[in-house]
Amino acid sequence: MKNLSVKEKLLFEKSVSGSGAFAEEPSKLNGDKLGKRIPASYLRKEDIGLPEISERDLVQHYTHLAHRTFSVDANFYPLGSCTMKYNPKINEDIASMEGFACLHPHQSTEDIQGALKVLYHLERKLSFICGMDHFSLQPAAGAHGEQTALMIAKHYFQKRGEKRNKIVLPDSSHGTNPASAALCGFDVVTIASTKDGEVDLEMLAKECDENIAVFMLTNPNTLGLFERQILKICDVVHRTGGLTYCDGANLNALMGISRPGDMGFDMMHVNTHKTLSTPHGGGGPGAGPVGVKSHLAEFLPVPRVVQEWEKHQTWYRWSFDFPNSIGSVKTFWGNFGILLRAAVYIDSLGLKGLQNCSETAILNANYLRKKLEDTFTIPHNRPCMHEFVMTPDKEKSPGKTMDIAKRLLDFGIHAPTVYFPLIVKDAIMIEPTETESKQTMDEFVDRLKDIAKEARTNPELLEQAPTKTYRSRMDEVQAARNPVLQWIPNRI
Amino acid sequence: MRYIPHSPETVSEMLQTIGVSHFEELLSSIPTEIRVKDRATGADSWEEKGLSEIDLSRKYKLLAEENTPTSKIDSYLGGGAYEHFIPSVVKHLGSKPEFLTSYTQYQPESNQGMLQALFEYQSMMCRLTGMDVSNASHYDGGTSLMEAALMAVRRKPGKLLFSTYLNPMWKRILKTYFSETPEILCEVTAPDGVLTEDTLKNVDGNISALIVQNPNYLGITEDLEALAAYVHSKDGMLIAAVNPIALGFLEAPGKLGADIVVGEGQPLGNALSYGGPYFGFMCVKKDWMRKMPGRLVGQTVDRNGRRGFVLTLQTREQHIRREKAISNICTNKAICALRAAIYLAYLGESGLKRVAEECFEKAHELQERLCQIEGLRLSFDKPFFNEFTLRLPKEKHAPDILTQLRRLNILGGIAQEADYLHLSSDITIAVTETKNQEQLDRFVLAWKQVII
Amino acid sequence: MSNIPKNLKYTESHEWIKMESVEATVGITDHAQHELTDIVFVELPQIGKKVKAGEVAAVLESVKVAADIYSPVSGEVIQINTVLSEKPGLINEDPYGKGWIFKIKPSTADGKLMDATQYACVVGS
Repeated sequence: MKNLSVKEKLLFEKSVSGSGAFAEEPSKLNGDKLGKRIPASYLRKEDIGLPEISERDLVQHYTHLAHRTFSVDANFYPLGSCTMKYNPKINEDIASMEGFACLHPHQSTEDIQGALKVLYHLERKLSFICGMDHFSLQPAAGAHGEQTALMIAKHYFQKRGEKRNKIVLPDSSHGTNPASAALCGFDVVTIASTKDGEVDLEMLAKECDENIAVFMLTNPNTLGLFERQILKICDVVHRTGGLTYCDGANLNALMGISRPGDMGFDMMHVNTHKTLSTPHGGGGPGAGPVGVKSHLAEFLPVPRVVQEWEKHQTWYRWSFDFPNSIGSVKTFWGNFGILLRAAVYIDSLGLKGLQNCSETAILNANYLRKKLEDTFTIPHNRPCMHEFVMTPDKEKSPGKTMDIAKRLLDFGIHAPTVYFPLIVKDAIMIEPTETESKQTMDEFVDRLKDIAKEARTNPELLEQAPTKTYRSRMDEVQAARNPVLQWIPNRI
Repeated sequence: MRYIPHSPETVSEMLQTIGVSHFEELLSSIPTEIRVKDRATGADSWEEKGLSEIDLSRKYKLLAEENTPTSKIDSYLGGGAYEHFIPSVVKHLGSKPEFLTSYTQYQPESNQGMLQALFEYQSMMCRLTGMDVSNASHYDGGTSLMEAALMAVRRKPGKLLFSTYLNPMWKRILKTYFSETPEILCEVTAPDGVLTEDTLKNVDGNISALIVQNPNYLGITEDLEALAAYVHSKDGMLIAAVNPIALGFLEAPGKLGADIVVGEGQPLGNALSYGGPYFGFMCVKKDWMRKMPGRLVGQTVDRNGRRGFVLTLQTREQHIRREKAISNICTNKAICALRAAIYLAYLGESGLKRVAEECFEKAHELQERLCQIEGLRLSFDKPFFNEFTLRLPKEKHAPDILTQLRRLNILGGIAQEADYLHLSSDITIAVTETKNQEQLDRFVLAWKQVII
Repeated sequence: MSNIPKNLKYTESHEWIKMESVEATVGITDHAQHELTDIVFVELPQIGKKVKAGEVAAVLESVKVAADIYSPVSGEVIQINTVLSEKPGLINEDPYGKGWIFKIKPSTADGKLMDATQYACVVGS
């Protein structure tokens, strides 16, 4: 490959046949017996096409890739709605203990009491933190949790003999909400938010009829604002027999302060990879436990961990004894390794610690909001919760949102969430989280002010950005018009 | 305070900057009725303050010790999760904090590393499965199978056929997701343990797809090529759900006629971890590229003409298409896919073949030795990869045998009676390269003891 | 300042339609292609598909957006511009010419159509 250095090459381009750790190992097959054991037509006839590389080169390869990846460990990541807080290392150590990492999911009850205890107590604690009665720990992600909850709603109405097909949600909702709703076969009705960025109670009331199944809401909403009329919102939905669902993506603003269950939500999900510090992993794994009030508990996925008193001790086991359950939404029991990390995190902080997290998250967001309000436009400039939305200001920071985001990368700062929520044009959503120091935040403010100045005096710097990263402004049009989704030898 | 970097003085400074005298003022938008007042209520065994690292470690070490991991006991359990040796490099490279604590690559310039790693993963999976396009992971084997089933039904409404020996957990997932149209789920009996045209031809009506798990839940290998030919003759799709380690040895399903290949990726470099996190893989022919769920990493160039990678075809996804999205998947299993890629790269062409061969040979040697024990025989005399099902003599109770083996520090296998009433005397045993001669000898000896 | 040819009719959703004797040609306006930015993929309708005025007939995708294209009139799709499968960018380059999307045989004289002057008010140019 011309012009590509070793550092830039793909594994396939570095492959040297015979260099791998296993290259000289003889075949393990007993050739005499092979034909009797399995038909020849079932076997591979050609090479697979996997690369071969020495261990040393493999380590170098992935180490370079790691260097070319921003991470919470190295960079400030003020991504709104993502809660990129510090991922504690003790969680990793405990998750890799043999007594957890080497458990086979088919092992019987006596062998896994410790694991079941972790799950049981996590379920109890989540219920308490959120004001719900029961949680299912099965779903693998927030969107998975949403879909699970909507299936629960379907079964709930079916059991009551009610035909309800409508999901209502605000135009500020996260894309997974309508996607999950449509996948469950519901009709999706979107209602416009008020000019204050909150749910339009009148419009909601109009949609609350005998056909409404669920109203889905993120609270605080995706503008970082607490829905001040939340009690009325839940009430108006309940009055016509609908259910309320809380997208728990913003739970980091609420712990120890206000519980979704107390707000009137019937169901919710939690993103452990947001609020509960499990690492994002560049796209997972996470977990999306689903919480419900008691009138919906019978529909939760099976199996569930139950606690029993047997032979003079407390005993835990899996139970399928829930005849109205929707079934299972995942193979085995859920993302145990991730749930374990969340349990460790909760224990490391305790109730007071979790409350402190949420309070500090709110403090940090408001601090940034105040420091930036003179340079950027803040459409809803009142005390926010753990995040806020701003846009470029025509005079003080006249750059395009995308260019501002790219320029931040040059300073080693990951861009905030951009162009979401859709209801604010050119939105920049900032969520510092509670783990970031004043120094980090002050530097972020200084960089943004520098960028604003560049936008006024030297806009090419923004348009050309980023110039200090490994690559700059990928041709996404070409990538979508002529997708190349696997390595093709000699291409480019 | 744990993980929070402010001193009380810093907090005061910040409150001043914000322009409030008390933090409480920032919470004025929250109705007082729903403010948390009494924390202690219902918090039975919680610590208000949180545990120190020493106490945390102690607590969880004790909890871990209440479990019996496969590192302390010889496990022959399979059934959808397999104990393979995870090389040290996979653990070290796969847990690099740069990968672990990064985010989805919406800003490609700052994430070329992870994007390239996922592109390499996609490329390896395409070669392994003989398909054109792989996504960057799904939640697990069962949910990726469910998504494949949805794709088939969207293409052509009709029945989804599958063997009775499809993984029971996957059957349960299908039942849950297709609960509105249960009539399309068509479980086909397999009297000889495998699907054949004979067993399928009794199904009438439109066929959307035939789902073939290979090897199936009892460990038996299915004839993918013949089954693909059959379902294509009915204008249906073949969805192959495969064990990726077996593909080091078995032919790529794409070359045998599969339209979609899915499966559980855990055996590739991911710990058993009591059932998760695992990952599902999905590979399709190129016609399906714009209709498949999951993240896709594509190759492109940057403004300076240098090769790089981006998430592409995002208009299929929820953050753009919303209610018209193909799937709602957002967070998937990127780190698990990364570990799989590192595992495959470390083993390489020859290594994966060797691991697969070793699993095959050890399983066959063991099966032959066990079947020399009076009373034990294969439930179905059919080809298998590294998992096989034995039938016990009628008077023996499978769970009891397993209990006795457990007392000899052996996890003997999975008793099938929980899921298959007609297989009440059957135990499925999985063998991987992790077992040495001594362990295999001990296993045979233990069986000899318990079976008399 | 977007281009709005006078010989075409327009919809509020930014499609144009060229009515000829037995068939009509449909595409999107210069304003629309500019808003969408580079088009990367076109989901064309099936030939023979019957559509009502205002129903989705095709989908255009750019990198960040997927836009539904509504049929301006009711009728049957009789031809599709298959070149767009290879060159979706033609819609950006020549939205009123080579970037046509489909031809339809109108069945009823329905559909809320505007002339060029009315459409110019809609896009404020």
